[in-house]
Amino acid sequence: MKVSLKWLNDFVDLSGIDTDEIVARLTAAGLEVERVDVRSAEGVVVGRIEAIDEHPTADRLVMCRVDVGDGTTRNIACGATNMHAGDVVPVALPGSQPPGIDFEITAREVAGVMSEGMLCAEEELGLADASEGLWILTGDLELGAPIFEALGLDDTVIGLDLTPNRADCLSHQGVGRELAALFDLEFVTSEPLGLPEGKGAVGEVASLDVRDPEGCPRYLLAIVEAIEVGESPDWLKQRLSSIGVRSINNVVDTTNYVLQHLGHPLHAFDLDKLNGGITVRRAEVGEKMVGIDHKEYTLTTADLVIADSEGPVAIAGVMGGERTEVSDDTSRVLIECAYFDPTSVRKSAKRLGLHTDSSHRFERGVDPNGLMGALEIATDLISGFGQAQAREGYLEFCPEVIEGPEIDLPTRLNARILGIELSADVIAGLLGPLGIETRVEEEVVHSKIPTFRPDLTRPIDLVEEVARLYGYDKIEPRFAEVTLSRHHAELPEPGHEPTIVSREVRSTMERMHTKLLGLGMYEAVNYSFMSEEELDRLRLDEDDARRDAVRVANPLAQGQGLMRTSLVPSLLRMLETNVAQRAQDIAVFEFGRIYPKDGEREMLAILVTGTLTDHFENRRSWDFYDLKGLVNSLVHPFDLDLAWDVPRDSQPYLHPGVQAEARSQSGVIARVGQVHPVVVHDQELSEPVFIAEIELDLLLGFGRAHKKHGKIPRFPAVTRDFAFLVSRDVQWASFERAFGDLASKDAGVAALIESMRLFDVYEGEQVPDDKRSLALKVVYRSDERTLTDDEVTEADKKLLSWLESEIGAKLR
Amino acid sequence: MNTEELVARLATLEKEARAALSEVQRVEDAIQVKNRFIGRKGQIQEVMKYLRDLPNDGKREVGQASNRAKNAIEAGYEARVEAIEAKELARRLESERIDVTLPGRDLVKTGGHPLTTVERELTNLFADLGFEVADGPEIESDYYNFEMLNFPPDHPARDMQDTFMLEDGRLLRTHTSPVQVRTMLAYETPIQVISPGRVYRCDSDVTHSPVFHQIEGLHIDESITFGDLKGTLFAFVKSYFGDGTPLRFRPSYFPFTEPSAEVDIGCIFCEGAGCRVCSHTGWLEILGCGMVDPNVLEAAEIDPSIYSGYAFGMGVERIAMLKLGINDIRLLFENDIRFLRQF
Repeated sequence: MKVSLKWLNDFVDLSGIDTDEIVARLTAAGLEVERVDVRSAEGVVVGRIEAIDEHPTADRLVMCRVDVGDGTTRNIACGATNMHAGDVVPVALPGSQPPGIDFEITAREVAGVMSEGMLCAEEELGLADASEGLWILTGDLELGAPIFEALGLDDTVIGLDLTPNRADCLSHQGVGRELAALFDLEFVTSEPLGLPEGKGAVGEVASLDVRDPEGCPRYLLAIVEAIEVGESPDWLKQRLSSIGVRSINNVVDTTNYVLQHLGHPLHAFDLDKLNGGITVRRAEVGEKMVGIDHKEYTLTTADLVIADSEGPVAIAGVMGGERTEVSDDTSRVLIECAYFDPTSVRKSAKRLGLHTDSSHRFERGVDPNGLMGALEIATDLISGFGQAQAREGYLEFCPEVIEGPEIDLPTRLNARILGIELSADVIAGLLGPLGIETRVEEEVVHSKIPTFRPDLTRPIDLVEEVARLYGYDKIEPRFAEVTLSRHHAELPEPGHEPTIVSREVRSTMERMHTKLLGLGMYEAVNYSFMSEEELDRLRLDEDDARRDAVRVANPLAQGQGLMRTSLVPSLLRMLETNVAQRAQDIAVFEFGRIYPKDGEREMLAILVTGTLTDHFENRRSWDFYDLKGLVNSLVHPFDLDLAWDVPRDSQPYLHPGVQAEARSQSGVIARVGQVHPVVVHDQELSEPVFIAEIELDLLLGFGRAHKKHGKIPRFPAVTRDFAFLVSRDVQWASFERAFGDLASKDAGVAALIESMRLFDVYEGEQVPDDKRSLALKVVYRSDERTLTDDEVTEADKKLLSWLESEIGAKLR
Repeated sequence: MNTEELVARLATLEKEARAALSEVQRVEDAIQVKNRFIGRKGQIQEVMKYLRDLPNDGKREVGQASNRAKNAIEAGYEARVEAIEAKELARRLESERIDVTLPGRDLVKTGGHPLTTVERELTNLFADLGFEVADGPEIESDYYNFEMLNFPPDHPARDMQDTFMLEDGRLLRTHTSPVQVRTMLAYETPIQVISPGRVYRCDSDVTHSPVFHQIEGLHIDESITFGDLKGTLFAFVKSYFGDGTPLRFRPSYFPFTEPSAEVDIGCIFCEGAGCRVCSHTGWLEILGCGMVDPNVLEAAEIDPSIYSGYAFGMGVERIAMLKLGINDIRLLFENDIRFLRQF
């Protein structure tokens, strides 16, 4: 919303108040000032194009000879095509800086020819966001005169970023009222203008039938005849131009002016193109209307329309139709001034994808009691153009008086919410200038809310008005005593999911995070989205559950249509980004959520490739066992039993021979593997890529293991090293299991074994082709006595024969 | 040999032993020398064979001389061994000298993603102020994301948050406020929580990301006022942006709070003088807040005539970008190692 300070003076006398002060007060009152454009520019003047010559070297440029009234002719290069010799245009002379561009104009060579300035479009003067071609000026302008002053546009324009509750401030009147309240100035309200005297009653040429009083509680119309549609008077063009509204013709400009002046959207129909009277009704199924934007809209029964006997001529409060649009040959107009239901307008606008100045205001709520004033001004202005003549009176649908609510604001509520004690009189004094009628009775302020403030419906809304006008900055901060929060141990009430995250979980997560960073890994943060293509790339089966993803109905970009069901695509994307930057060594993790249809859950995923240790003394690449060990170390603090094995369901995106899963009592808790070479085939990577996926929610569910102090061994240990020859078919997991099963055969011997550790795996020379050598360190210890050599030798025998019988392991 | 000859002989042996010891370079050689002279079959012992032929006086004298010689040789031996060992140690230490200026084997190269770091800093700060941490789903229903938060259906306020809709009719939460609703419904008052988490809006440019993070706070109790809100946020700004950072509260509008405010801090780059970052206003908007709207309390079955509360919310990306001087939000989600390496 743009407001002109000149224009605001219609409603409040701001003379003598510094612009900075106005800006500060508006912002402090919740009308955030986005920008301030001071409309003046030294050195930008009125000039006339004397002649247009070809540019000697550049096809797209011409050289204009320009007179700015100082007796010399300047040559100025120009890329526009809409000007002719004799046109008067804005000229930015060297040394000037027009407000719409952010550099200083200099005399310089353009494509090899000296150009002494710049011819401007409205955009370059900061009057429009975009413009086509130069701004060709009309009217009697003195050459060389400063442009803004010559056009009456010397002004300061304030851009407001209004919140949707402040419908009342979508006009100069509304902002003027607010400023009057903020600066304790008089708000200028003009006496009702009255409709101009007319000839012949409106009812003779028009009729009104409102069939949907809910969608259209009020409708007024007036008629002006014998109009010559043409250019608007200068003052009107200037006002619209000052806030960036393009002048179209006197009729349309008038409705736009009233909209900006009072905040009330009007619509003008060409009466001669209307067939029969005005009907306000819901559209019929499949009814169509071509809008003034030349697009055809298909309507539904939810859309409120203005119709004649042929069909819809306007979508109520949103857009008029092309068929009855005011054009150059229009001579009679029907001016509509109505109040439409905000929800109805919003639904139509939203469904049709139309956001107009009109719908913007109706959605937020215009003042139903401001209709007459708006209609009067519009009719008065239009009937003042040329020979135009209004018809007598107006037609009206206005079955009920619409009044604002009465709200009682107890001073106690004010104190309870704001923490400041204000007397009822002070509160009434603050609210009055906003147009709220107040009556103080003991500790209650009875308030009658004007209909232009639809946002004020409850006492709490008035508390905000009080706070706003009193000043948020004047409310003293109170530093509450910090009490230890009480909820850690509390469970939610029955039937509700818990939301509180315990400190234990938070600190556990922090420790995992710290551990990963301690390994020199980078942390990734990815979007929560993925694409079908990424799932294809993972080579997932057609019926893989991860393909059954939640779909985004309105994705912002390609590749962001699905909610991710795995962190793997995110990590592969990250890998791609960095490989494209020629990174070779990547170690990264992401704590993130996945969103399968059966519920969101937290995951931790890790991706590594390339060098783990890169030091002149020791260089080593990441391998499978690094990640497996890392998962073990992450899982270690939790109270669960972990068992690694070949996956029951092989993951298609992992190497079939290099993947494993870690199972807990409640299912697979982690998965580690090498990314399938086909999946990373297109990568310029010399080293394999490994991935780990950890089910974080499942893991956190186990809670931290409660460690207790155990006895420190008092008796010495006996250590034995063995090398076994074992068939290559026997996996280490089977070996380990067999070792553990010794307890079932001979509990006594098993009890003597304190630990067993694999310290070498060897295949090759001196080992038969179908076998491998596993070297173990076995530690025997008793917590009751020092073991004798005989005892240990006896235990060795039993262990060896057990392993041989179970898995054919032979001592090498 | 008589007494004198024997004493002289012992003196000679002592001298010879000392000379021999001073020649040796290894501990083993020193031991040999020592044994040669004072071992059980050593030369001193040889001399002692003559002792029995001596008169008692002579025996005593030679005995004493023998002890002196043995002690002296023993002492010489020990001194020599010590010297050899010292020399050996020095040699070993010298041989083990390395170039300590060569690079260390660095393990910790990174400090985590800036978003995690900032989110954690903020979370811990509010935890210190007495707030619990709450979490909830990111895929939400219209009910929790809008309706319970006083966004009436078809209200223009919904335009303030461009929403990602899901094909099943649910949506991606546009703020973490649904967690506040869920918390109010699930737990008894008083409630004092912050909810950090991922949120979504259909918007993407250098300052907007379709996926971003928020931290929202909610404090509900009897007699909570706007003054408490200001106090909490003053404490936050002081602690996070430094003592003396100015802040201001501007009236604003959010459906779930009334009165509502936006909070600006004095620009931390130009200290209020005006610069590009603060669009020459001297202020940076960092969060929105307000007193919880009675409609929200009522919807959550909390009696607004007894309880009041405040809520606030801020974007983690915004804070991280300000703190770290990042000017393009997309950098935070690209996961380019050249970016991540900097933190």
